[in-house]
Amino acid sequence: MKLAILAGALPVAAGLVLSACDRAETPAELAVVQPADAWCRPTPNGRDVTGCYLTLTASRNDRLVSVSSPLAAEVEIHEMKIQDGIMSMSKLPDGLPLPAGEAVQLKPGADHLMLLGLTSPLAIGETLSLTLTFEHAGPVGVRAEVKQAPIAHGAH
Amino acid sequence: MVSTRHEIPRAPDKLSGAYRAVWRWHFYAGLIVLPFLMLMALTGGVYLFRAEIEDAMRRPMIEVAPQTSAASPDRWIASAAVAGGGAASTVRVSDRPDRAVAVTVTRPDQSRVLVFVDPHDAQVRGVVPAEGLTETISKLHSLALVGTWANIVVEIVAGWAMILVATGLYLWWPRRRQAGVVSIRAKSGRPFWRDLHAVAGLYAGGVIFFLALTGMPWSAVWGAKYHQLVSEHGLGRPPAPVAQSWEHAAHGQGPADAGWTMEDTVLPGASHPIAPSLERVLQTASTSGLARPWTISIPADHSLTWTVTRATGRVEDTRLVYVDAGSGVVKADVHYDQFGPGAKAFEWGVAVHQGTQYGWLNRYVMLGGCIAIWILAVSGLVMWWRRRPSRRLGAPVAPPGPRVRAAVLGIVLPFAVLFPLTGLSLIVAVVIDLAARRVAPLIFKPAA
Repeated sequence: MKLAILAGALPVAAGLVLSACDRAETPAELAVVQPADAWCRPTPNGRDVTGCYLTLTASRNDRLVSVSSPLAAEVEIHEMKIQDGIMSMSKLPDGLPLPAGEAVQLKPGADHLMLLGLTSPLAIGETLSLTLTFEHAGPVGVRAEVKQAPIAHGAH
Repeated sequence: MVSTRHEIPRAPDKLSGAYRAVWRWHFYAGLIVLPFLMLMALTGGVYLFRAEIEDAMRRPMIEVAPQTSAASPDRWIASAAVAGGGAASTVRVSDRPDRAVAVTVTRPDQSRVLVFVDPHDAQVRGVVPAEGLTETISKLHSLALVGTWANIVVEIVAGWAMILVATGLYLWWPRRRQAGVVSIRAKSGRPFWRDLHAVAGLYAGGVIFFLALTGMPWSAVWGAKYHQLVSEHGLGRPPAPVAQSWEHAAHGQGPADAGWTMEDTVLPGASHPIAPSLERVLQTASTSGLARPWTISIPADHSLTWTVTRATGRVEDTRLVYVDAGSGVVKADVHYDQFGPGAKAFEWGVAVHQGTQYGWLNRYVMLGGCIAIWILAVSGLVMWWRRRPSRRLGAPVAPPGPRVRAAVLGIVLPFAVLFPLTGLSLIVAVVIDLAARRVAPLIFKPAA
């Protein structure tokens, strides 16, 4: 009798161990996007349009679908293409794909954010808040620094 | 041998005073270390199956569809860092194509999480606390859960476990008695439990002794001293590469899964201008002939080289490659063959203790030792319970005399000398025993 209880002790312990399974998150809970190095160009001469840039890294395949800012009427996600030797800028209709683990850089001369209808001019040293919305990850707020474009060669 | 409850427990008259004295020590040693031994046997027995337990618990997040293509390893750690909210510090790459990569992420507040990443598309599949259930079991096993001081208790218990095996062997030694020696003869009653105890002890005593001995390198006093002697006499890790020197790792920054010999050993020499790359490091590991499973350690200090180890649980597979993560150049390549005899001995002991050295047989022999400890403990308790006199502890009584003392000390003393903490606890036990003998007759009627 007691031996049987004994023999049962280890499997029971193992069962207790197994029942304490780590909770499996759903993919949506695991989707996180980390922004880095956000900055915007200043707006001299009373212009109400500017470009903003940042680097985004996603934990799961994701997509930047929209961006908003309290200082701009509208924010568009643009891609820069060179076709037949002519550089053209157009809105990305489906947003910007963010493959997992890839640091996707939005930078001058490439994909970027276009702020339209700014309510006030942006001066160097100011900051501007942006809210990024993704297909899977929850919305992320970033503060972008207003500054001049870094010298192209030194840019990273 | 059967005695009624009202009699004083007593070995048969033909048995010597020495037998009774050894019995007395076996009884007390057992009584004191029993709860600890049972805890260690239970946690150890479960921990033997740590890999299976972790695999079963995390199946939904670690099982991935096997594919031939793989995302860049640099994307694995970038995904993990984002999901974990920190920086990747270790990466474990399975040798199975259907298993996720496990990345330990250290957060700014130094807490750690374990992030599972699908190697094929770099997508994060799960985030769990780095200190999981098996770590808790391990900490229970070493009593580290109670506090680092409790490690001293483990050392004392291990020493007493060896004394139990040695005194037990003395008591088991056949003396032309009608009792079970190699098989259980009695069918019921206390003789049955006595036979069970003796026979289980016979078959498992060696394993229990081995587990106690190989557990010693973990201990606070003996273990620390052993490691110090090994390293002082050059019996441990191999010399550093030419024109370089090993450095002692900051806390938690040493190579993971590298075994004890190299666990605190880091090597500077990272090339600064080039950004480190896990992809480059793993290419180097492959071209160096290092087969999976890999454990990659990424030091927080960027001047240090990264390490790739092969962790299979078999000591002769132990290999540790220090790679400059910028250039991908191998800075040092350490094999088990290069270890000194001291390091080889305890690395082997640790691998067998943990049941990983000789495959499934190793594991089940160790599990047998754990189960035997419970059988011995329960049968010992039952024996004592059945013959204990009412309202008394009922310890075996040893007749006084120098010959009797010599018999006990002959068995116990070697352990007391080899394992100082055990010796110290022995002195305490002797003092208490002497005091009890003086005081007890004043309280109770003399027992014998």
